[in-house]
Amino acid sequence: MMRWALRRIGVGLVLVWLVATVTFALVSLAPGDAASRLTDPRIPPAARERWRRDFGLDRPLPARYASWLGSAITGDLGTSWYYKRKVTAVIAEVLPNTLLLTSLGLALELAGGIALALVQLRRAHGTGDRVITLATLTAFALPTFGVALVLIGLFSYRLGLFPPSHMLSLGGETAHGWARFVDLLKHLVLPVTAIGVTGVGAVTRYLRGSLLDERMEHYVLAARARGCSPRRALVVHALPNALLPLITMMGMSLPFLVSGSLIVEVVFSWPGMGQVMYGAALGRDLPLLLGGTIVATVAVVLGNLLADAAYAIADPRVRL
Amino acid sequence: MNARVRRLVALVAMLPLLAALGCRREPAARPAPPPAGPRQRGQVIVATFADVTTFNDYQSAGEVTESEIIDLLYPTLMVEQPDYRLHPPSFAPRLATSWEFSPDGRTLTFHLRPDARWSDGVPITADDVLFTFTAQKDPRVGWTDMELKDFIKDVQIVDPLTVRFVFSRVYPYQLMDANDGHIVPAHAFGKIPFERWRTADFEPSLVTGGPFRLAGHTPQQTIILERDPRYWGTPRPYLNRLVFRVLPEIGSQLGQLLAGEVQLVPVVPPAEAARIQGSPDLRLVEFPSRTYGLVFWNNRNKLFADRPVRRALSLAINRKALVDTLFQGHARLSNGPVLSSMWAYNDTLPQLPYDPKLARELFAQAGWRPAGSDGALRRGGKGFAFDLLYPAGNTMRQQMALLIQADLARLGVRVRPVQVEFTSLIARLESGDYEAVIWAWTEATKVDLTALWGTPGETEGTDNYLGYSNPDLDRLIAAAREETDVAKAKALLDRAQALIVDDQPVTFLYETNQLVGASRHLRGADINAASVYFNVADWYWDPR
Repeated sequence: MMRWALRRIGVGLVLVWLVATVTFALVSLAPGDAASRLTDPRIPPAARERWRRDFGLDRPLPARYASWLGSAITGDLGTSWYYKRKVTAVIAEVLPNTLLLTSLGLALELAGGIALALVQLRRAHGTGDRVITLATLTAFALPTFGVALVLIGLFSYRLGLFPPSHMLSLGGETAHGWARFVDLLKHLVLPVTAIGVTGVGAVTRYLRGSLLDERMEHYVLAARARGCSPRRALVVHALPNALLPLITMMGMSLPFLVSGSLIVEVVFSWPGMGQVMYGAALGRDLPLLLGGTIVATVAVVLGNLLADAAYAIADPRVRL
Repeated sequence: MNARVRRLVALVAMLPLLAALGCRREPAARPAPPPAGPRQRGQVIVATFADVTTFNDYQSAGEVTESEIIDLLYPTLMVEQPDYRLHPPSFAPRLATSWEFSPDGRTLTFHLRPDARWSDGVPITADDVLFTFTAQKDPRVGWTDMELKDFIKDVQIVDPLTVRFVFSRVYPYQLMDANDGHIVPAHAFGKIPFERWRTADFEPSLVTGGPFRLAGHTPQQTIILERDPRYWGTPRPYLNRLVFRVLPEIGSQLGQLLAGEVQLVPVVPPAEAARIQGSPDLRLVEFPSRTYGLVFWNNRNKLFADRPVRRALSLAINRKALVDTLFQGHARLSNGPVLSSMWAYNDTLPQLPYDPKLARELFAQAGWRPAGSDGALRRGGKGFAFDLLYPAGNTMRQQMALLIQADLARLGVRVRPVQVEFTSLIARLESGDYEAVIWAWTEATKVDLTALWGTPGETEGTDNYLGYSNPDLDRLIAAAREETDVAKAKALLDRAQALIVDDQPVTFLYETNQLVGASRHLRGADINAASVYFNVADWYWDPR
């Protein structure tokens, strides 16, 4: 187990380096650079050249890469060209916000998906099953943007139940303790719902399929023969095995956890990674882009690692 | 209780929880009983697309909202007035109470207010002005507008309230150049050495000197400015707070304006103007912006090298229909390189009509004739076809591209609209790697045609992506730059504009109006092209 983990971490580190290197090359070779954004007749063109020099963009690509790599190895990801602050500081500011939003969104997806699939399986191929299938497929096909706008229109503007944007209300930003927590909770409802609604379809469909398979397995029949109730056979015996494919799916969702949902963040003005990284890509803010990429890649590596470990725990046949 | 009833009960039991989570809609400003009229109270929440990256003018890349917020926090020597329709802008006192030029015009002396204070109570003096000038000129600071100070040789302290600017030459915009950039506190900002300015965080313990001071900043969310009780200028602001809420999406901005969650949306798209006007709680403020749109024809490209061909293209585009359709009355036709709202605008310039017949004749004179069954223009066996680039995600320009494509297709010109990511598009402009681009410029209040229309070179034509060159024009522009007599400068600029229009290196499309959506309760605001917050101190909240 230990050797397996060490080997996987080693491979992961190589992967992180590779992805960062490719990102460095792609962004550097893309047309335009951070100074291009200064195109405005009110800013003298000489200022653009000065910025290029300041950012080291006048140096050859290999030299720039070498100095970036040298600092990155020591843990110094440099200073964001746009925010003029340490990349780690910018990321540390927004990463927790994204994690909060996306982890709750994923949790809603998972919980909702399991609940719906179990309801469906109580009478497979019955009316309820069909209605839920139709509903979840529809939700899955809906664009997140549209769902978010409908939620805002209905629950914010029409019913006035939940705030339409931001993480905290104006008063909430200075509040502490319980008041702040409740304020945050109110602001979480709609964006988490937007993520959950559009994601729940996939979980439901996956789980329903594998539950249908598992239900016919001998061990479930054996459980039923021992006098186990249908519900107990489904929940206690079939469900843990049916969850296996979901572990892989959730492991693959980890990058989404850290990179965030750009659309949900923009529509709800949520101060997260998605928005910051999108801005960095448009502005060619290379240090920030690389920092974000590294965080996302580490999440992928970790996600796969954890998924495999979880597999081993959930399924004793799997050995690491 | 059967399962269905149980579920129902559970749902009902959850209702109070849902209600508790739900927010009460609180009015943005405290409702106060009449009598109304200006008085110190309330706040205004402004929607902004992005967070600020810095509160230090000399770190800023000049994003509009960022510059406006910095202007609320820091003083300038004078305030530029929006009277540039009549003459080059005049100035009103701010930190300086008066100023005068020496007889030879090379020395400009400012007299500072004796009661001016920073937010920490320290007096604002000539030391701060000198310190600011030193920072502006220091390459380690890397201020984007550094070149504006090129002709200021020296700044000298005469006494704590008198400061003298020494110029290396006499030219029309000396006052403007001396005034540009905000005065920053030497005692606070001076603690950070210049070589660290580009990456230093000035926000903790920020010392300011404007009508407002920073009261709170939640990154990517909110910037709260509050009235600075120490502010020395007149009038003092009526508003207690000015709050900027980051809303990256225009739909959210308008939704919250209509719902009363924000009270000011500084940039309303023309298509949404009617919604604002239709709301009894809102009003729409409209004024000529300093932005104009145009089509760049790459003059280095053989296709666009001939003047008659460029003229034919302009005549073949139904510009009036384009402006009327897309801007719904909130823009005007543009016909030259100087905005019609500026003193230097040549109002005798011809407005090129929509004249496909004349366009066809001009194309024919240049050898482009319709051939084949499709009527496509051909010369020497080659068709007239090009890519028309526009920035990706800009639906307005996309629609322009489609209208231009349709207009030109009628004459046998094949246009392919291509969207290009913004930064890549700029890179292609800079390297001349394009045929035609739909672009827009936002002009400064300084009329100087050098950068955009001068022959590309080291100091002139630095933003001339067209490869356009006319030596007669270069001479006129250079003479106008030096001319201190406004009437004579105007005569030179009139001729320069006529030359550019005659050459048609571009097709001038439109001059936009800026549309601002504001709450009806926000009174006293004179929102104009100088700045949305031009008279922010006079703004007040009227709850009636």
